[in-house]
Amino acid sequence: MIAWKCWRDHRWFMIAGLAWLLLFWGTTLAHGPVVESGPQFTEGGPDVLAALIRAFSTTQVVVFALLAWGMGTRGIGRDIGNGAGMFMLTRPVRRGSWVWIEWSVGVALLAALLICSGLCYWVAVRFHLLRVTWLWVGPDYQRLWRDAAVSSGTTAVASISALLFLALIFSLTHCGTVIFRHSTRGLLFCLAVLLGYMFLVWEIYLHHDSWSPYLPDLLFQPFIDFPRNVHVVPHTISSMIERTAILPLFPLVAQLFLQRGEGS
Amino acid sequence: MLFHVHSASGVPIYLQIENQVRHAVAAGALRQDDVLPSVRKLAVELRVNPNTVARAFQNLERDGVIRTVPGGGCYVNRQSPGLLRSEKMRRLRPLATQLAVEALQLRLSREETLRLLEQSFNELGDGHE
Amino acid sequence: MSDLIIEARSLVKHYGKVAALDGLTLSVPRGAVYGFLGRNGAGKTTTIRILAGLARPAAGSVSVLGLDPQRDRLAVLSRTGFVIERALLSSMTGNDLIRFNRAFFRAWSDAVAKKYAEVLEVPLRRTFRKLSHGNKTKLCLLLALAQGAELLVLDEPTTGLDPLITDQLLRLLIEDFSGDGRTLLLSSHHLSEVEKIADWIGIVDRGRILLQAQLDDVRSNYGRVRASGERLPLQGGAIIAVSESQGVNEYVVRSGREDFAAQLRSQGAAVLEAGPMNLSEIFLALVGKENHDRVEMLA
Repeated sequence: MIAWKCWRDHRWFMIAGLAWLLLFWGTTLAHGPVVESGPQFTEGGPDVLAALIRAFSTTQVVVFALLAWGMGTRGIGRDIGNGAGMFMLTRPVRRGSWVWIEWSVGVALLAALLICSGLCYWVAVRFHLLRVTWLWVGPDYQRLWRDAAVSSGTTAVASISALLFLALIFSLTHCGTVIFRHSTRGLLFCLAVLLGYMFLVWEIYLHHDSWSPYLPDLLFQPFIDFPRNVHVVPHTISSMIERTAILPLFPLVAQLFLQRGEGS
Repeated sequence: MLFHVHSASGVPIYLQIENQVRHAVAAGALRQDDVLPSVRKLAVELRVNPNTVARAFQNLERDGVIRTVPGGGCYVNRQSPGLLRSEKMRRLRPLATQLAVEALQLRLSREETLRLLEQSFNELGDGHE
Repeated sequence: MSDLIIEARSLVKHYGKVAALDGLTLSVPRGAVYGFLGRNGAGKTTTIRILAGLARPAAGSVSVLGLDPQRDRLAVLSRTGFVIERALLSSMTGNDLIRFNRAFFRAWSDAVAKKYAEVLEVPLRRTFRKLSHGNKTKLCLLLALAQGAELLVLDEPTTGLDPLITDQLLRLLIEDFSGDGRTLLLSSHHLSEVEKIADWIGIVDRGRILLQAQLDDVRSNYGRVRASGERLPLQGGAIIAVSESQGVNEYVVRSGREDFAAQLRSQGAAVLEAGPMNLSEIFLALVGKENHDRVEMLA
């Protein structure tokens, strides 16, 4: 029943997400794609897929990121903040369950959204409904372009990477909302952590050339360092593993806060 | 409804119920073998705790005013001639004392007091059956 | 000793510098309807929160259904219905909330829920945030009552309800709750309602229990005596309070009012009244005092 409640809480976000997909793909396919324009207008190369995925994904991801950000505010944190704490916390349910079920349902819904999005993209590319307008010439282009498996592979990787990004935003906001029992503060908490981390990375890379610790790239950019190679490389895998590993930390922190604190 | 309780009067509710049953029996409103409502039903009707009603019924049964039949139902007993005269007198004595004391305090004469008693008897009808 | 459903000993709880509970000791026997009475801020809600495992006492021990509400929280909550605040999930309707709540309790009964909704006149199709205060209260009560709980703890259930619905609620509580082995603890300001259905009362003031006893015993024992005369006593064993005006002393005694009246008469005083007091009067006498005796257990 908690899962049902979570679904109700996130219902409109999901509908908005699907509506956005419809809008995006509808207009894209109607007008033909201008995913990323560039100086050369020639037949494609291997980088086109990377660039394509990146550009498409960014526009998708921005919208979905906003949805994930909003979704994180729903749940036990907000309910307690609205005064329903004494009711919720006197249900015979472990406090941790609230947090983990909400988190799991949220991440699952985001995954579902991305699966829809990935499917749309894959179908469009596979059936050549998508026209590509800027490409680098390369010898392997023909082979790559016709190789649907590659495009599915890269789409899958891009989607997973996007999911990790969305899940991070969702987890941060969800955790913040539980800690502060307040939706807006949850939102700000998420922003603060993300911006703070990016600032930290920037500072370190900018001012400490000699010392370059490896800090995981938390954000969504699986191919950025390797535009010429669309195959998944260890670097990307390890960064994805790191990004997956830190996700459960946030519901864990939220659970601790909920358990240590007093009801409402 | 045969009974009514004043929850805010300060008199214990079980006592009020008991007194009302006794009063009804004395006035002939309840006769021998009449059935009383069940404890639960009476409690719900009066909006009082069933334990309170149960206590009243227990006291009434102990004093022989009513009897419980196993399988349900409380019935009014024949008012026992078996109750010894001395016991009856013992029961009335404190009430008589109280009446006398009050009358003295209020400076009512003995005749006026006795007249009041007579009036009460007349209202209830002399005895029953 | 009879089986105690709730037992609290010397509970202490501070909120900042304020001592909400200052050594509160409470016992509720199984099957009782216990009226938990006190002024605002006396410690009723704090106690209830501790019973629900929502707050931790700084000192003292508490057991509900023989369990520790902190350690065995799930067991306590699955067998007890709590109504503390009148806030539920604001976007859900009554029907949604019934559906939501149903899953948590094995003994849940939809039939009971529907019955209460009808008797108490609760609109089930409107979302919670749009309900009036009275309807919100009724919905909260309905959810707790349909749970099939062994123990029900209600914090001021009749506040905000009109007299007709209050009457219906009391009727339902008596019908379904008392005399069944199930226990009911209700805190209230509405002494006249508590007076009807309670068999035990606990009066709390400033974080401590002033009086805990069976209501009938309290009614039989406490009394008011009004007398006029010379050299009337101002203190004594059973005297709780005495006030004087226009030559008449009014005593509140905790037991033996007839004997006390007789004693006054023997001293030549004119006793104007020696009668029982209702719960409201007893409450005011106890709580209005400055130097009240601490714990009073009459049973």
